[in-house]
Amino acid sequence: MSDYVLTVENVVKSFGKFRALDGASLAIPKGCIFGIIGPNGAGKSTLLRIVTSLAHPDSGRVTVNGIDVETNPKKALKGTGAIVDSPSFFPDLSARLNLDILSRGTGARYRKRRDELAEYTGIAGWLNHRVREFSLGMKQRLAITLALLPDSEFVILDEPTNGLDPSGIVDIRNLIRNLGAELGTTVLVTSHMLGEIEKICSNIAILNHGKIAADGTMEEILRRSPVTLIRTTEPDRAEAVLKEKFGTRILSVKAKEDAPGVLRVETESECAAELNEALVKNGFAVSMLENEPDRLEKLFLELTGGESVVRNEVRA
Amino acid sequence: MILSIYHEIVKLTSQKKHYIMLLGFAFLMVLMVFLFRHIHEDLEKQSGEMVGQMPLMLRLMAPDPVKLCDGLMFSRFTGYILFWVVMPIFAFMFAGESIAGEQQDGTLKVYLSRGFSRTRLVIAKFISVSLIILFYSMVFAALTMLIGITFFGFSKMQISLFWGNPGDPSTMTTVGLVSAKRAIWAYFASALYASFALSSISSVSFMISVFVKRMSVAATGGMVFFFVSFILQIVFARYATEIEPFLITRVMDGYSQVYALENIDWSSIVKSFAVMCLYWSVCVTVPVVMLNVKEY
Repeated sequence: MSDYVLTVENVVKSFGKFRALDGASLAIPKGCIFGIIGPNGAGKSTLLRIVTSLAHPDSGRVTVNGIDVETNPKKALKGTGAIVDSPSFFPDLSARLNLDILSRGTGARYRKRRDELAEYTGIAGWLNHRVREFSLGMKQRLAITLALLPDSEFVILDEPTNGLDPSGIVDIRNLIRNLGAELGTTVLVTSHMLGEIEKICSNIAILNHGKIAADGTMEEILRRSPVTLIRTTEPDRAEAVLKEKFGTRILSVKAKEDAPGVLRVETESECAAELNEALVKNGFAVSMLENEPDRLEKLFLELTGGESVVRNEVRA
Repeated sequence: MILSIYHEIVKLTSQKKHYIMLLGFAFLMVLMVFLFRHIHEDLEKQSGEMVGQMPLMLRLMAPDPVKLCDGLMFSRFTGYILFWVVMPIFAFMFAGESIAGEQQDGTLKVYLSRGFSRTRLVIAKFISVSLIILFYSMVFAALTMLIGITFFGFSKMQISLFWGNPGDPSTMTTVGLVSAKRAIWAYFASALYASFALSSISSVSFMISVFVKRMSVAATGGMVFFFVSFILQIVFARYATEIEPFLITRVMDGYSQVYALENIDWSSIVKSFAVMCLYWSVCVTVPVVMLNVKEY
């Protein structure tokens, strides 16, 4: 049995002359919350459509639980629930009927799980209401419930916080985080909101121009070039001292343009404590020392050449 | 498959277009009652003159022609308009909704992304559309008869009509008398036949619905195909002999045969069913193939 829920190997997909996916490869380990982030047009939706057999790759291979999606979609996607694009339901039917029809669930066991999941996602009191009466946030909750039915172990959510108000974003974010922690579900989330991905996901992949520019655990990704911000007296002399003491372990040191007196120190590995010790021992007063926030954003901009993304500011 | 058909029926019957259908039917009934009342009055005025013009056999069997113009006659007469004009429009609406409507609102994508059998989905959709057409055909036929009897009473003898096809010189319009029981049987048999014919007529919209994302386009496409076939069969039949046997409107030919229940030309019925099967098989196979290869 494979350790990976989803593997994507060298997938190429073109629409006319436009190459939406250009040899994309990634693997999603079981039990993680995996985020795919990329600018608009990077190929996120195309990749999800191929994974869910809504589109066919020109070349390459996609497997879910080790089963090829292209040759055996029914078996491969049996334990997979996906909401690609915005959540769509039959507006004149109740939430309960929507869940029953779209998940094709039947029997007492299914009904018990449906009601439990509805309780879990906070829509239990709305099951008999028509979907027409639902807000977008409620529809997202319903979509997540549907994705988990009848027995999904792998859930794919395409931009799940899109269009939600700040409190709705926090609710959905917490819900997705809990899916992995409490239900053991593997979740694949796409977003163009860096903040959301950073807060929700344990693993990420950055997709750009149809290629995976970087992927791994959040720690691995952020550890690629840790940056420490240091506010100290005499920043010019401090820069020289740090370069001398740390040599090649320091990749770059420069004054932060928008914050006078602050040095931006990029290092090979995490060494904030050592930097502090070296400066204090050499008689510098360190009034601030912190890891640079928005490192993911910076990394993303580096990898994608600065294409537009949204830095989401909603706090949990 | 039964679960899929049940789900499709639930989806189709939840839509508001059912109210439009019921309103359309009610409007037709009001118009037909109004019209038939005038016919009734005219017949009463011309009763003596008409008896004189009737064939001898008919005159002996039914000396009062006004009594023949009863509720059952009303329903049989209305049935023609119901099944030739009104029901096809409803059938196109339901068939067009089936796939295109779900493409339009995005629910088809949700369903397909779960890896369920697409072939089963298409077949279940078509069967559910056919079952809804069958249900409405029989219910509307029964309601029409009930309304007719309520307004125009009930006679034990009925005029047996066989409408000749205006485009087919080999068929002639003939008139006779049958018992009410036999006429009721004929009426419901023709409604049943019409539901089969409507199912195959609607299959054109069903096929179009897999290519388009708007239910209205699929429904309109089916209507255009149907009415063009109708014009070809009625007006240009003699100039289009090669394609005339395959026109979708040919499937309605059997309606007149079953309607009369007398001197049924079984070869014509078999031909009509052959055309139905042709449309059923083509118009269901194409969506099956398309849904399996098309990207969403």
